Amino acid sequence: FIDQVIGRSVFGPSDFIDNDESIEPLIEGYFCPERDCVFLHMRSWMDTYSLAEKCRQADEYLQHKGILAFWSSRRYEHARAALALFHLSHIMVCCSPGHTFDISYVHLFKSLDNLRNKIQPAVADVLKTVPGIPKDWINHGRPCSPRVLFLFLSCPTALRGTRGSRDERRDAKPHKHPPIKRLEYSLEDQIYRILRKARIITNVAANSLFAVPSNQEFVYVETGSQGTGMDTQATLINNCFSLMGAQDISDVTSDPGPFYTQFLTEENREKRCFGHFLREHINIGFERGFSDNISKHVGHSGGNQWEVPTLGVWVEIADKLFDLFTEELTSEEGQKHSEAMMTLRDDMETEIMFSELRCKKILPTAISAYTDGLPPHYTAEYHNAKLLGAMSMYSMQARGPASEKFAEVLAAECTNYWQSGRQMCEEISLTGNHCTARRHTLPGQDNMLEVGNTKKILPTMQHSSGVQYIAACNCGRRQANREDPFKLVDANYNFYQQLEEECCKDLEHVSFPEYSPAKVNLVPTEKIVVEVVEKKEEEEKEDVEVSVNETVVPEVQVEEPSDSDEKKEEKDPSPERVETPAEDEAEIILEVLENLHIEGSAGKSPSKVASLLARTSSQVEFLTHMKTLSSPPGLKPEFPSWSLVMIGSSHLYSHSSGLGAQPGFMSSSKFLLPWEVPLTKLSTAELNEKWPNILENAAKRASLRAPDEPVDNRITVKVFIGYEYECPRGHRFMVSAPDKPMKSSSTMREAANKLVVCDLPLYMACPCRITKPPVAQLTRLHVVTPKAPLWVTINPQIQPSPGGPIFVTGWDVPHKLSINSYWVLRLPYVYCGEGGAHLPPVIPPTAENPAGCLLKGSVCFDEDFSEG
Amino acid sequence: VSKVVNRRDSVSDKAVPKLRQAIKFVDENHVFCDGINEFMTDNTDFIVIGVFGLQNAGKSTIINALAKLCPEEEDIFRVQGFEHQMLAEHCTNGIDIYVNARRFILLDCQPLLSASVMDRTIQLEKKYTSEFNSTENTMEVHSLQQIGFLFSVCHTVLLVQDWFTDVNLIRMVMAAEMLKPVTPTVNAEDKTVTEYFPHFVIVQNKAEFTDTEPEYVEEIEGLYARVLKKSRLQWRKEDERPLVVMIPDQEGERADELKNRMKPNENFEESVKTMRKTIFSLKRSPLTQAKLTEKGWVSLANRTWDNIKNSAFYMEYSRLLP
Repeated sequence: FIDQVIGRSVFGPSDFIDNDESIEPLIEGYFCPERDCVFLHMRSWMDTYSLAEKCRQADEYLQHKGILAFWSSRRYEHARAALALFHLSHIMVCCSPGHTFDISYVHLFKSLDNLRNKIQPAVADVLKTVPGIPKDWINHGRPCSPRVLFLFLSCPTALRGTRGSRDERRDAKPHKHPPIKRLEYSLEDQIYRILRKARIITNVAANSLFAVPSNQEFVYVETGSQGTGMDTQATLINNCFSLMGAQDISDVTSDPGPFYTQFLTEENREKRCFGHFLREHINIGFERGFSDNISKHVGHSGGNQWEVPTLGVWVEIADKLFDLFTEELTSEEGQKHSEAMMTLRDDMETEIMFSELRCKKILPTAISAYTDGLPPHYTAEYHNAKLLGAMSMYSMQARGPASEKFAEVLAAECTNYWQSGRQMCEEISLTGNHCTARRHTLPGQDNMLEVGNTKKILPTMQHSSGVQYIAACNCGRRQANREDPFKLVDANYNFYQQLEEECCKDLEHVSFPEYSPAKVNLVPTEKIVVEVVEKKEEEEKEDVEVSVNETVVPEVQVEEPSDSDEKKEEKDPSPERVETPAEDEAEIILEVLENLHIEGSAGKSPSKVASLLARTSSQVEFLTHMKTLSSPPGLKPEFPSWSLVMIGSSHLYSHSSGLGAQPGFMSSSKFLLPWEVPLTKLSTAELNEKWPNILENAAKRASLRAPDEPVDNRITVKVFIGYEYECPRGHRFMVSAPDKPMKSSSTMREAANKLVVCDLPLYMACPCRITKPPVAQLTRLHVVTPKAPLWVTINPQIQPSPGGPIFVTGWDVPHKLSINSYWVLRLPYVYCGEGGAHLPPVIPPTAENPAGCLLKGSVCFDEDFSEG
Repeated sequence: VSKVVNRRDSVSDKAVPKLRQAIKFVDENHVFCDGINEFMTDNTDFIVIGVFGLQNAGKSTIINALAKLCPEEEDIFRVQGFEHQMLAEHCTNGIDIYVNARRFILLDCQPLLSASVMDRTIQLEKKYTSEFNSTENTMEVHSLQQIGFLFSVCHTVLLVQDWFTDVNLIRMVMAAEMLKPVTPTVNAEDKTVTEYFPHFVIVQNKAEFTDTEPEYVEEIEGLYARVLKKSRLQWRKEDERPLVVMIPDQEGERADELKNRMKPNENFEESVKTMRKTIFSLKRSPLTQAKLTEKGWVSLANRTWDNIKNSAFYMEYSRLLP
């Protein structure tokens, strides 16, 4: 672009065309053929107007990187252009809009000065290639030590117009200079002292970046010849005026260029004007050159070169030097000067440098904040919490535009640290415990994991939370340790089947509806069926569960949906949920957390069409979860989660001694509750004929009655019922009231009457420990049926969470228990519906915070008795 | 509202002496002064407003306009006189503080990037001139520290300008925002420190004839909206535009007397009223988590100042300066 500008500046006199397209600093030139004078006008982002334009153009960039980053690089470009001017000009004019010297120039000058010395050899090399350049010029790299003049474009209102030319204060002492002169002198003194202090100007002009004349004014403050001058000027400057202009003089000249006349035409004829001020300096330049040495060096012309080139030579030099200063810093040959330019960039990009260094410095600390005290492997939830901690620690200490970049580095490193062998299996057991193994696959699954481009082999093993429970078998007569189940079939079926081998397999079993065809070739399409059904139901019943993304991931083996219930928020394994704690954190963190969706999204793929097609064939399929009231009618589960066995005849139970030697029972609570059921349909005669034992019992009871007791003529029979709870540690107990573990049996004559007509809590604090009691779960229903013309029917319905789905056995009608027998109904160990397992509550439920229940009406009686 | 004000007045009149003139809060040697403490009460309903800007922008004039209860009142913060202007000297050194009867705490800063301040420093040969390698670096860091301080202890800061904009100044504000350290809380266990940033209002002072034209204002607002996009300062109004206030040239009113001067479109007094309304109606976000009394604020300011002076950020930054 410089070529173009130079070319145009030499041959085309009218070049004050706004060129706002260019993002880079622009040096406009104007050659005055009549006056043989080249004026260079540097426009860069430092101009207010250009700045506004640039910001508009770089809107996008600002949005992302912020102003500091934008600024720093612009500042570097600006400095490079300024450097070129310092090498090409005899006189430079430093313009300020106000009337104070901006000390940020000190930094710019200082950097340029440092650089000028470093870059000298490279400049000399370039100059050598131009024929006809004096040796001195080559050695110094510039035609002279330029003079810098300071132009201030406004003055205090009190000094504006003609007011500055005389002191109007009555009480002021007369001074030999008018106020405006005193302002100029004062500014000169300030500037001089500051530049001296910073060692930018020295005694020997040739050694400095530039000089200021020692015996001539170098500060001009614009007053505006008239009051209005200031206003118009302000408008003009707002439109286009550079902070820094520069002139180079080629030969003889007299007038200031049109650049200034634009706004000085009015003033030109006045005595006080910048044109005159500048012309004086230009004239000296043409007469004898500057000699701005001071103190003992005054008059020493040695080392003070002064060259006035021809235009052609100057243009050639300018061309080459611009190339040098603006070339990319990657070229091999320019290594040395590249290095120098790098330092300039570092000087100019202080904010970026600071930010980078600061963030780099804090990064290891933040990483160790993450790695400190980490377990060998851990879950995504734990990882996120740790990462969040490290992030907030980092954000307190990191600063500036680089902080985002390094925040990403931090997150990436921590995530990588976690993913390289520290990931824990995210599976949650059906009782709510994490699988404690490191990330692994199940037997039969593809154990290759793609992390980026590398493939890793995951260990293959079964899930294990390391937790062991104690539980009794279907009939309750045998206890064994059980592993924390991850599969529903293990939880509700396999464990009990294994124990049956040792205990209850010979008892009479009542079967539950189950899907009977051979369980082979479960192809993914069948899975989708389930998904559809679930989805449909979720639309209807929004309060239910988390969608089961996992079910559609094509797998060879069937895996039960194992997402935990949404309501148990403490332990929620689904990937989407993991993000919740981070929601209000900074965007960066969120962005990073997105990387954590390692395999999450795959599950959402089935198209609507595919699912609709699948729905038509759904009648013939089976349920992968347990049967609930909302399950599609006709679908049966693969295996029963319930068990109903008859232990034997009713004589097995003796109300005086309780359940006898069943393991795990607390001694005071192993009694069933008597439930007096009246017989109303049959006459005494009929009873006498068919059921003499009932009348005998009634007579026996009447004789035992105390004399003052009211006479009860009704004939009743006794059913014995026990609601058995079992805690994870294998403790078992009966309840005497809906919320009360049984303490002793003797006084519980009427208790069962109340129990059968109300909801029973599914979970209850186990009395085995007083502080922090474990949560016991209603596990078995003991029913001893009398020898009487009466059906005791059972139809258990369980709602494991308030408002949740209701689990049922799948029987079409309540099951009639055969008379004169001891029945044990074992309830499911885990309730797993469409959305996943309902986890038992972590703490025992209270009245305010209820958990699930066994709905009332699970046990009834039916007098409509017919034998056989 | 007036009732509340009256009650407040009576409380403060009784309890504490009244401050007539602004006093030093941070002196020119960059040392914190707690002389303001005796004028402070246990009142928790107060606003802290700070101004900063380049030399001669009119910082003290603007803050006077905010501090005075009526325009006729005498100046509270010293403003440049003819002599200052003639000799291009600055007027305020360090940071001045004043608290008025309505419990506005006002802070006035020395000019930023000021040649005059630097010159004075050089001439007085202050010990700290080489605190950060060189005088100019020390000047820069001190300016950054002062802005950082205002950003930490004020509810609202005003950037006063008398020119469209100055890149170096904006760069400095952004750098100061970047460098501002987090003030530690008294109670070390409180780990939930969040970084605080005040309202940021740009006061375009000495606006000329055409400067109040809607187009021009829009231009200014557009620029700041872009420049401040990433800033965490509270610079936005409800409509996402930056908080820009235009104050016309004070002298404009006398334009008729002065030959050939154009009278600005806006009236100075009216604009000041608008500015006061804008600034006082900004919703105050709490400086600390616990509720602060005026006295508590002074101690917060003291801690903040110490923290800023000892912060490694500024040292690291200064090492990178040329």
